[in-house]
Parts: sequence; C-alpha cells; structure tokens
Amino acid sequence: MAKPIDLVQGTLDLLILKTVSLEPKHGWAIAKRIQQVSGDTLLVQQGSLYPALHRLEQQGWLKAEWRDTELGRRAKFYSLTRTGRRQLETEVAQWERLSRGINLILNEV
Amino acid sequence: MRKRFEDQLGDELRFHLDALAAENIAKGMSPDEARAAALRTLGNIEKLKDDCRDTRRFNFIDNLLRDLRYAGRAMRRSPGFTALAVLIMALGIGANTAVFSVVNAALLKPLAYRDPDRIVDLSERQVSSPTDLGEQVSIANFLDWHDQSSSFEGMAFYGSREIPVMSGATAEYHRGTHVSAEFFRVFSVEPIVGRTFTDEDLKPGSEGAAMISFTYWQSHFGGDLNAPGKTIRVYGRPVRIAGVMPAGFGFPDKTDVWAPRG
Repeated sequence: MAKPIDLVQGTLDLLILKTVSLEPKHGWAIAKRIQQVSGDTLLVQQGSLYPALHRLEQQGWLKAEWRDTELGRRAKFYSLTRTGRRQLETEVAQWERLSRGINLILNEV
Repeated sequence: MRKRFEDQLGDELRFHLDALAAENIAKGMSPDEARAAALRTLGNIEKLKDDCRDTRRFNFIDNLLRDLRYAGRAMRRSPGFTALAVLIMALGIGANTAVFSVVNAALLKPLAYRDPDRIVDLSERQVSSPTDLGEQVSIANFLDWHDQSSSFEGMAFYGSREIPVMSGATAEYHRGTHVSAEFFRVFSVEPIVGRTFTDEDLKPGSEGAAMISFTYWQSHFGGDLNAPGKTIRVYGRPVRIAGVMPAGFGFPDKTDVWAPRG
C-alpha cells in the first residue's frame, strides 16, 4: 500500500467539521475516523489535531462536552454548532470549486 | 477558569495517549514500548499544549505580560541604549506634534468667519514690476473700486499698528486697527455686546468709537456687560466703546481695538 498522504494545507478544518457533523466525537475518534473513511490514504498529524479542535471551538463552530465513552472513561466530545454547520457548507462548496478547477487543468488534452 | 482549562487539556491529551498506547499494545508491543511509541506519535506535548492555549484569550494576556517583563529587564540591562531609544522617540513624537499643530491651525481648522472661501484680499501691483505683491492701496483708489465694482458684496480696508491704549489709570500697547465702514460686514461678525459703528461714528470729526476684542473685554473690564459706553483713551484721546467682538475674532494680527476710518 502507498504511504499515507499528509493533509493539504487548510483542509483539516473541513475534515473535522464533516467528521463531527454526524455525531459528537472525541479527538481520538475523529483522527481514526478520518483515517478509516479515507481508506487509510489520509494521515492526520495527531499533533495538529488538538490545536485545530480548540481553535474551531473558540470560533464557535464546535461545542465541547465531557461525556463517558463506551469503555466508561471521561472524554471531551466535540459536536457541530449551527454556525459550524453553515461553515461546513461553505467550506465544502469551496473545496468543490477548488478540486473542479484542478481537475479541469489536469484533464486538459 | 485558567486552572480548569489546564486540567481539561491534560485530561484530553492523556485520553488520546492512552488510546494510542492501547492500540499499540493490540499490535503486539509491550506496555512500555506502546507508551513510548504513543508519545513519539503525538510529538512535543508541551508545544502541543501551548498551541491549544494560543487559541484562548488568557494566553494572549499571559504572553503580553511576559513580553513586558522581558522588555523591562532588557531595558534595565542597557540603560544607555534605552535612553537613546527614548530620546529618539521623544524627538520623533515632538516633531510630529509640532508639525501637526501648524498643519491643523493653518490648513485643517476652518477660519472663524462665515463663508471664508468668499473673502479675498485685494491689492495693487506695479505694472513695471508685476512680481511685487501687496502694495498698499490709496484711499482714492479704494473708493473708486468700492463704488464702481459690482463683483463684491462688500469691500473694506484696514490699517493696523501697535497703539497706546489707556483704560483707567494703566496705559499699554495694544494692536489697534483702523477699519472702513463695511469691515465687520465683510467678515459677517456681530458684536456679542453693544453695537458696531454707526454712520455718525464714521463721519470725519466725530467723537470716535471703538470696538474691543473679547480678550481685552475680559482682561480690562472683567466681562462687564456695561462696558459699551465707557471710555478708553487712544493716544490720549478719549474714545467711547461701542461694542465687544466675539471670542476668537481678532483680525488682523490679534487686534484688541478697532476704530472707524471713514
């Protein structure tokens, strides 16, 4: 299997918002989830994950809550706020425009 | 609030480390190995914590205080450099303030007259040397301009010098200005107390009348509302005060006493 790719600059926020949009998750689960869903192609630098989570929380896009995990340990669960959901939509739209533009160039004959 | 944040940050990262270690054990590492590998994966924990703190405002305040302390210590260590830096900044600020004061007074602050852009200065010039500005105008020419020109709403002349003025027993030099009939109408200023010159005052040989400035009124009459009608002496000659001009009006050259010149 190919070596996992480091994240493109600026896409970590988008992936975090998308990952917690379905249900609240703690940091570890977010990292694992991104790795799994991407078929192990994307590797989240675990060091950069937490500052990003705190920043998004501070910006009001995520809210945090301490809850018990299935294994009975307390962990900090992040979930999407309403403004976070709107931010996710704009970031998805931006990403789609960007990748469409890149594809147009790559597919040029 | 700070303490709670620190505790929670520690708990949050410990949870992640434990999960990483557990995963490593599941892959077949010994507990010690697993722990060390987990720490390696996460990188520099203190740096990581600091990045998280940076997203909060209280960290900004902490950093600011620390920077101020560093600055204070550095300045104490090299007083010569500090003095030089302070001196340079003081000079810079001082020069800026001085330049701004001039610009503010000369360019930014509007003149204290109504429609100042419609007041112009008229002067004569020699045709033989057209670069010489500000020649004095003869009274005869002024009267011709005044009577025959239709471009101006009003036209006035003035002549100004230091004159001896006596009020009570004290005699002082003050800026005195002779003005023609329409002078105050040109600037659209009205006296705050009393009246301006009447036609009587303007006739040659009249007893004479004077307008005084707000500052002169305050310093010599204590703002007395009955000042109009009282007498001051100019060159020893008694002159009745007709009125007081508003504060801020002192054209030309901070005039204190205006007298009519028909």
